[in-house]
Amino acid sequence: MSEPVEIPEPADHWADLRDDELPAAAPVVLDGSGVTVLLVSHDGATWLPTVLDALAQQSVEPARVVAVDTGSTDGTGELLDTALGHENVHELPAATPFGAAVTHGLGHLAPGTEWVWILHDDAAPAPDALQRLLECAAAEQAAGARVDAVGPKLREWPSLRRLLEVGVTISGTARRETGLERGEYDQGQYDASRRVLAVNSAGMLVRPGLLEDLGGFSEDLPVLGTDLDLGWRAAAAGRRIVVAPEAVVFHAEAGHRGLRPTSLVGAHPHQTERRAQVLVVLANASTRLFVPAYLRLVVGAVLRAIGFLLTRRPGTALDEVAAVLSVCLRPGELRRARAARRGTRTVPDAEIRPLLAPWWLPFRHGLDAAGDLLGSLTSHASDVADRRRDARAAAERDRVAATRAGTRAAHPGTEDDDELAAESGWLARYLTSPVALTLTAVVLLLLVGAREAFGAVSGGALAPAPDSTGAWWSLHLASWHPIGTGSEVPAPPYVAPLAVLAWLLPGGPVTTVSVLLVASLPLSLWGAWRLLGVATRLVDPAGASPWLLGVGAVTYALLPVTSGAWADGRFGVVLGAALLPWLVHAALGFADPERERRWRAGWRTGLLLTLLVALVPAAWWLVVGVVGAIAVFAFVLVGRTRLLRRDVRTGVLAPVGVALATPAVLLAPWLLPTLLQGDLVALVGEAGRLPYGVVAPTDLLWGHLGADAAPAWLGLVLVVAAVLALLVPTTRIAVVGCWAVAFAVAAPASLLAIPVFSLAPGDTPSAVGFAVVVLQGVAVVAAVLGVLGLRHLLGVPSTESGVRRLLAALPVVALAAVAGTGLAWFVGPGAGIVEDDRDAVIPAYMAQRSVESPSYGVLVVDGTIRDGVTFTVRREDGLRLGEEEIAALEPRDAEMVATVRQLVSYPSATELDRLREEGISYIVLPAPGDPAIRATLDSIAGLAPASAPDPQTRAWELVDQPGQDAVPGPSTGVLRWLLLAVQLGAAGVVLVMAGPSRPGGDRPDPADPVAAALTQERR
Amino acid sequence: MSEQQTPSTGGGRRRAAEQSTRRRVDATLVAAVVLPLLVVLAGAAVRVGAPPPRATAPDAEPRREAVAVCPSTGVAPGADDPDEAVPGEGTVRVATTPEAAGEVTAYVGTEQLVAAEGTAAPVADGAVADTTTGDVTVLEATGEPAGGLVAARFDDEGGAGTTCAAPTTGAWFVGLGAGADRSSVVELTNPDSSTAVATLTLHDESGQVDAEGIRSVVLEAGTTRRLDLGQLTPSSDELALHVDVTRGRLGVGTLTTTEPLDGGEGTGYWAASAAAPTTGTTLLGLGGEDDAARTLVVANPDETTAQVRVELLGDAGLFTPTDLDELTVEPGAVATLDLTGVVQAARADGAQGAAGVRVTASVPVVAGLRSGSGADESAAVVAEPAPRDVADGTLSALLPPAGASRLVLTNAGGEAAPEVVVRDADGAELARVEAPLATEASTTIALADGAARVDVLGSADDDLRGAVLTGPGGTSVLALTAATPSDLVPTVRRAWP
Repeated sequence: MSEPVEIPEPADHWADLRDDELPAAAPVVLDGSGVTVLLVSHDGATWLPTVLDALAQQSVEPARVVAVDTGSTDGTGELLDTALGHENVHELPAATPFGAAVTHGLGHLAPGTEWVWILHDDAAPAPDALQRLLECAAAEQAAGARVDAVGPKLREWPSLRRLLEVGVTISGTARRETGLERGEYDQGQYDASRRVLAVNSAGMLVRPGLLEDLGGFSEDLPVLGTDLDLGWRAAAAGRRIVVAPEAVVFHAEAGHRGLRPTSLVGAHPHQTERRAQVLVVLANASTRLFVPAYLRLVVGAVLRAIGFLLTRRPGTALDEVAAVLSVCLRPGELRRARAARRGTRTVPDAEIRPLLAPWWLPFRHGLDAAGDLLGSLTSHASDVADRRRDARAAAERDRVAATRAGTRAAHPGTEDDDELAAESGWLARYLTSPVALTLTAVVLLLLVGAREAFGAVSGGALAPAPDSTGAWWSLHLASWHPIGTGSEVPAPPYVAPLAVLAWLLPGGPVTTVSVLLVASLPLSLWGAWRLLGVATRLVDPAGASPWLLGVGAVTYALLPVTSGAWADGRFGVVLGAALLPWLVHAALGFADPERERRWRAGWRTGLLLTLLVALVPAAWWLVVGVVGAIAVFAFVLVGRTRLLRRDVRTGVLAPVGVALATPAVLLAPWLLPTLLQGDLVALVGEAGRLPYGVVAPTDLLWGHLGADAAPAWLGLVLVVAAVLALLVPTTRIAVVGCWAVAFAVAAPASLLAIPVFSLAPGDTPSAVGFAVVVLQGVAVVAAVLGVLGLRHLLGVPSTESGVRRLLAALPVVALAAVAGTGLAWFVGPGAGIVEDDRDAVIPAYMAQRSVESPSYGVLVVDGTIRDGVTFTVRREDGLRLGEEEIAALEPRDAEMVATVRQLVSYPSATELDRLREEGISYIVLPAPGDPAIRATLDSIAGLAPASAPDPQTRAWELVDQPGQDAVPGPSTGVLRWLLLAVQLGAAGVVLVMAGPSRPGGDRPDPADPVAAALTQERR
Repeated sequence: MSEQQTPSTGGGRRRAAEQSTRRRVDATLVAAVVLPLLVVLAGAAVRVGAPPPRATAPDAEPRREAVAVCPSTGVAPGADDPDEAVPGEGTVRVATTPEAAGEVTAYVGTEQLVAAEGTAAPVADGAVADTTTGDVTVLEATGEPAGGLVAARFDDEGGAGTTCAAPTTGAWFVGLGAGADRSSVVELTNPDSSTAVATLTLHDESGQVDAEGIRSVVLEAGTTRRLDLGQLTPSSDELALHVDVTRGRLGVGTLTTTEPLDGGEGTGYWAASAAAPTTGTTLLGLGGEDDAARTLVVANPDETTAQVRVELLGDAGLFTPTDLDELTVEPGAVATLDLTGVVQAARADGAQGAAGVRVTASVPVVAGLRSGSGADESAAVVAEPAPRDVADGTLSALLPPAGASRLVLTNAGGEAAPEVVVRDADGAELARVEAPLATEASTTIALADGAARVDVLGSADDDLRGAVLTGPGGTSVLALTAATPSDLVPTVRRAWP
């Protein structure tokens, strides 16, 4: 510090601030002998020379300039010493609050000081600022209203033209309100002096008496918010503060913008500012308004935090919550502050109220913000669309230019036709595009094929959807379900997304399932089209013909159907297959040269992977297999050192890691309890009924998942095409890549095929079915790439012989035959979904009664004494979508097993009591029941025969019915609440991070003040 | 991917490019061969078989209780209200295995069997306890005696009798009648404390008989009902009856009474019952003289025509009579085949003998065999195999209080050498003989007067079947009861949702 600091050249700083449009100052008529300037500074060397210069040029000369410097380390002290003389500069420690610094300065005023003019080191007054302030005070005085403080109009520095403040107030949400639009230009629109709640301390002309009476600026507040606090206290004490718009002070707002990191403001200026503002409102609110203000601030903080999250500003959101928390968690501080203010309060609330911001102002700000966000999102989306269209158009132009080069002479005017077509509307383009029309027809046929999924749909692995969305929510929220004999198995992971969708869609769960199934096929088609487009463009920048893309996409979209997954109600596989191309497309973003885009790819892939894993948990292992294969490949290709470089780690590996880990966090309410309970089968399962299906190696070849699949040759043709694609040299690398992916999928699938899981109802293998669809999908991509390569090899577009054209067209025709046959099969014999056999044996009146309460359960006993007896406990409306996995994974209930065993062999009253405790009202023995069991149950005294629609089905009713509260409803434990909170929070974060980039660009780099100053808009 | 080679037309450039990228191209080629092979290998390992089914065999636990229903001595057909008719006098005999001791409670009466106070009779050491009653009697044994409970009903003359069976959920009877000379009464007894319901179906030569009032016969707890077939259906000589107990379980007995039209002496006997139609039926106990009339009655409840082949159970094994055609039974109908000649011929041939008949049908049928006529008429029993998992291989029968009896034994399994033990009413052993039997062979053992019970001690693996012919000329045929010391208790698990 002792080293002499180099003083900047005495440049004409004022030149920057000189504003010819400012009205010229009136001739000096006022005396400045009653004014002491109090300049408070801290690390302000950047601005100070200008400020001192401006002070020197004041049209009214103050009696004395006193500077208080709080521990500057950038030469501010030396600058002040030079300009003001050492005796007028007071050094205080860096941690001194603004209020304490001012109080210190008040002790060194010139004798006879009537006014103290407080200036900041980043606030440069216009030459006539002091004069205008004094004039205003005098004018007010002359009008008979004593003024205790006068504030100037603050304008932005360095822009100089934009208004910052013309007096300030504070809203109920503790927001500093200036009443100005953002970035409003000063056109003299506010040039009338008026009474305000507060004026900024930068440029405030204040009577020392006011400061003495009120105890100066609050020392509880570091810097920000002290002016509002002082103003409120002054108003409460019946003092007047006036703004004098003729007086202009240029303010850089260094503290507010975080340009000057100080120990007072800390590393989070936003948090410090919010904390100060919250404290101001809570400390000054009258006793009557304290509680509403408190509640409003807490709720408002949460809402604002959500808003910040939605606009991808998690840091700001955190600041917001932390600020309110830091006030609320220190009630002692608040109590002291309120006690101190009570002493000076003399004026009723009603007099202060007009000075505060109106109650509705925060709502208007909220609406404005939402509108802005929506507007910028729409424009962003249209920007993206424009960019893509431009890129496509450019690619198309290149292709046309390349292919037509030789034929243009022969067909003059074609180009003009093209341009005409490009300029005409989308409808004309659509109607003139055979591909678009064909694809529309395909989509319509897909919808026809999916006709059984319209309305309520169930069958096979697909249980009927519950009647209300609430059932799904309660399933997701509860940690204990009244399913079977009571289960702590967590709800399957897809329940939450389904519940959200059902909540959004009119029609509830039934419509949701129907819409998902029906839409999955066109969605799959669209996704495959996009993915194949990118894949082919990667291989050949000109891309493939739309016909080839269409054929490939249709073939892919039909895979869930032709494999038999559709017919068997395996909605996990069907929806997963629809998601897959989108997931892969998103994952291609990892190859983007821009780091930001790679990160976004990570979040997007993570989000889509979460949805996929929710539907088919086994898919996660396949994805890990593919990622592992790519990692090995990268390791071999670039070596370990390059792979583990910092920029690769944080720019490539980390996003991939985020994508892989996202499902674990987002699905925590399912994953953690599943792990804790050791239900490992759930980690290798798929959505829907257990046990999982049998898969043979030949099924992989045919692409079959069950008996209800399309003819086997369809799948075989794809595999053969993928093999033949290897023979085409031009695209061999890409096709080999496809085969590598196939291996990376088949290898973990072969491992998944090994374990057999023992559950209470029996044994089940893992769900490997999805791998079958994925492998077939990879075969489609390989085949399309092979065809593309072949067309290049044969040079189709040229005027070659018919044989070569035929040769090139043959594979497309073969693929089209696969797609066409699959489609025809789907529209015709393959449209059916297997009949739902659930609850077929339950008489309607029992079903109706059991809906009333989970305590009116039905015990369904099946099987024979010699071949074993099985039982299920059916409650409420039976097992609905999402509940079957819980029922299957429910651990063995030894007590219930013993009860049923006793019941069918040597029943006694004890067993009936036990059934009553378990909330069972009826027993059903479906046809053909074991006559011995039937006779045994008939002989029990406490059972009365009940009717059943099928004469071969027998039913009994417990004569003494269980109490209505025998089985409690679903309940949620503390861990579950925690996990749900984690899920909700993580979902918000992932959605925001995966969303389009925040309009207005990225967060400023704090290390670059210029960039920060330019981009950070003052709100 | 970005390094993907693009199609090139310049020959020289292409060669140069090929040379410079020779290594990479080679690697691609190698990968193009190796990777599909790897995929095939990995794919071949994707073999998800159906997990082996869980062991579902039931456990055999010591039997805790056994119930036997003894029909009443019967009421003559033609009574206005068969339920109100009072049966004649008779005796119910009950015993358990000699190794067990305990009590058997007898509930007697046709009304409120359950509510009635039962009479507890001690049973031990294989002794036989008699209850003198002609009424329906329900015997209940709990604990030790349950496993070997055996009981029989005899009329007051002590000759005609039937084995008391456990209540059933379904039974078939053939050879019943609703005619002038032969008419049957069905007696249904509900031994349980809850209502039972049965559906009765009748078949005659032309098919199923449409009879009123038997589709749903309701029996309140502990009640008995009698149905006179003569009142249910128009005159018919050959009737088959299916009692399907749709709720609860019932003791079912059918007493057939003969009244020869020529005014000769008639008789009453209990028809043999079969649990369910089968393709192979063994009928044992051809009562009467060698030349007595023999009529095979076969009911075919199936929907297709049954071709029925008949073999005789000779002393040395099964044989097919030479001049016997196959019997054709129309769907739903009852058909008869006269076996008088072939049985007489077989018995006349001392080397052959004919202890019973083996009926083999193309579809499941119910078969019965009627011997004799008039006062000598009797029905062979359907010798059903004992359930191997609960039976211990012992077959027992109680003999009438007076008169000599014969034991007919056949071996449907491999070679067997059961011991036949004869005891008197106090359980004292009178005789113990070994009866070696070749496969499908049969033998007849005369049981001395004074014998009260006979036990055939085989092993659980043997498939021994037997019957007891009582009365001087074979008045009735009693089935042997397999001792079942165990009960099957099922394995129970939760079903897949």
